[in-house]
Amino acid sequence: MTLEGRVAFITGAASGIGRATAVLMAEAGATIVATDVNDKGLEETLSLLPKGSKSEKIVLDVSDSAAVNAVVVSVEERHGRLDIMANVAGIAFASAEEKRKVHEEMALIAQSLRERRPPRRPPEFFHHLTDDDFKRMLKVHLYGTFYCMRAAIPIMTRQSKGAIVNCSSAAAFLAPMSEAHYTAAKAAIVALTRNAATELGPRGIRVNAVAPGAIDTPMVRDGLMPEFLDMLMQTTPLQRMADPREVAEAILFLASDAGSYFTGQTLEPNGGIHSGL
Amino acid sequence: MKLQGKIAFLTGAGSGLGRATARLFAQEGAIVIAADIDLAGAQTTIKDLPTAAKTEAAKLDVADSQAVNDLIGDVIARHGRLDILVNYAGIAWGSKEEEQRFNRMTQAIFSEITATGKATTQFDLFAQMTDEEFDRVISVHILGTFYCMRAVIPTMLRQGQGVIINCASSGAFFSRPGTPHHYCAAKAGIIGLTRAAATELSARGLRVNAISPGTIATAMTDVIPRPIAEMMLQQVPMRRLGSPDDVAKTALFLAADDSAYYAGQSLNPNGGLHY
Repeated sequence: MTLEGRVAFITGAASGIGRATAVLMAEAGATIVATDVNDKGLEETLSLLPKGSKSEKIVLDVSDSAAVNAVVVSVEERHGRLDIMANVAGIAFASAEEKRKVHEEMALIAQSLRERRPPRRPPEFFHHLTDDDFKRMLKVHLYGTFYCMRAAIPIMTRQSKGAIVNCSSAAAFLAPMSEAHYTAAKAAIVALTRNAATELGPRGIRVNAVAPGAIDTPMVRDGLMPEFLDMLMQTTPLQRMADPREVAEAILFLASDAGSYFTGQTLEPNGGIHSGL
Repeated sequence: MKLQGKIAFLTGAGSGLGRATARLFAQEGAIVIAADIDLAGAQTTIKDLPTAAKTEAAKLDVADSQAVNDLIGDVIARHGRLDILVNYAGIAWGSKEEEQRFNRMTQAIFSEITATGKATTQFDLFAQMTDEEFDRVISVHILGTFYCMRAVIPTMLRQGQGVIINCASSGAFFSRPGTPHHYCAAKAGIIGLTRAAATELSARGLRVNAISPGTIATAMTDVIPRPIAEMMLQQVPMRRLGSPDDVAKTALFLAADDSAYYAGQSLNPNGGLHY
C-alpha cells in the first residue's frame, strides 16, 4: 500500500481520468478527497472505491477561487494533512454553442474524409471563438489549476512534503485543428508546472504533469466525432484509445514515492500519438 | 525593401522590442501602426520613422476586447488592408506590489549569499500571487494575443495572405528561480495559440509564427536587480544580453517572404540559453 496514510485531493473526480485516479489511489491506501462540479458522478466514483476506503466527496468548481481556498483549508482541518493533489478537472467545450459550432466544422472535414475530396470550404474555428468561451476555457484549466496549487502550497510547505500532478494534454505539444483556447490553456499548464517545481523543490514539494493523448473518457467521446477518432487512431502507433486507468497509473507514479526524483516534468501517456487533428 | 507598402500593426510598440521592430519594419518600407497602452511611448516610437507621414501611433490595452476590435477595425477601414500583426504587448508582473515582493525576496537572497555564501531564503512567489495579479498577466498575454489575432484574421483571409507574429519567451520552455509563474504560463499559452492558429490558417495563405526571446536588454529587464542580472548573463553562452534589434531582425525574417515556409514555429533569439 504505497499511499497508506496519505490524503489525496483530486479534482475532476466524477468521471474519466479523475475517477480512475481516485480508484487507483484508493487501492494504494490513500484517503480520497474527490471533488467535481458533478455531485452524482462523485457519488458513483465513491461507490467504485475498494470497500473500506477512506473517502469523501466535495462539490467544487475549480474556477471559483474563494471556493477552492475554503475547500482546501477544510481538507487540512478534517484530515490534518494534504499529501497529494491531482488537478484533473477539465472541459472539452466552453459552451453548448461552441460545441455546436465545432461539430459543424468537424462534420465538414469528416464528410471530406469519407468522400475522399477536399472540404467544400475550409473549416474555421479560431476567429469564431467568443470572449466568454475563451475565458471560460482558461478559467477551468489554467486558473483552476493555479487556484488549487496555490491553496495546497502552504499546507505542503508546513509538511515539507507534497506532490502535485497537473493535467495537460497532447494538444499542448501538437497543433490540433480547432480549440485554440484548449491548446493554449494546456500548454500554459506545462509551463506553470515547470515553474512551480523550480520554486517549490527546495521545500520538498514535487510538481509534475501528465499530457494524455486520446483517452476513452466521456469528455473525449463527447468532444470528438467517430470519424475523428478514427483519424486520431491512424496517428497513434498503439492504434487504440487508452483506458483512463492507464493515465491514472502515470499520475499515481508521479504522486507516489516511486516518482520521488521527478519534478517539473510532463509524462505523456499518449500511445505515441504524433499528430493533432 | 522587404516590406514595401505593407501595413503592419504592432502592439507593445511604445518601447523595447516593439519600438525596435517598428523602426526596422519602417526602414524596410512598411507603414507602421504603433499601438501601446503608453500612447506617449508609441508617439516617440513613430516620430523618427522614415515613413513618418503615413505612420500612426495609437493607445491600446490589448486585454480590452472591444478596444482591440475598434482600433483594428478602424485601421483596416482606413488602409483597406492589414498585412502584418506583431503581438509584443507584455508585462512581467501583475501589480506594482508583486514586483516589489519579488525585489524584496531577491535582495534578501543576495544579501544572504554575500554575507554567508549561501542562501536559506527561497523565493515564495506562487503562494502569494493574488487572483488579480494572475488574471492581469494572463489577460494581457493570452487574451490580448487572441483578441488581436481574431480581429485581423477575417481580413487576412479575404486578402488570401497575412503574417501574424506572436511574442512568447524562453520562459515558455525553461524555468529558473524567481521567474514569474503566470508570465511563463502565459508565454507557453501563446506558443499553443500560435501552433493551433497555424494549423488552421496556413492552408489559406496566413503564416502564424512566434518569437521566444531570451534575456533582452529593455526597460522590462532594466529593473532586474543587478546581482540577478549578472547571474542571468552567466547563463547565456554568448555572454551578452540580447538587444531589441536582435529580436526585430527575427521579426523581419518572419514578416518577410524569406520565411515563406515557416508556420507554427517559434524562433528563439536567446544567445544559446539552455538553463
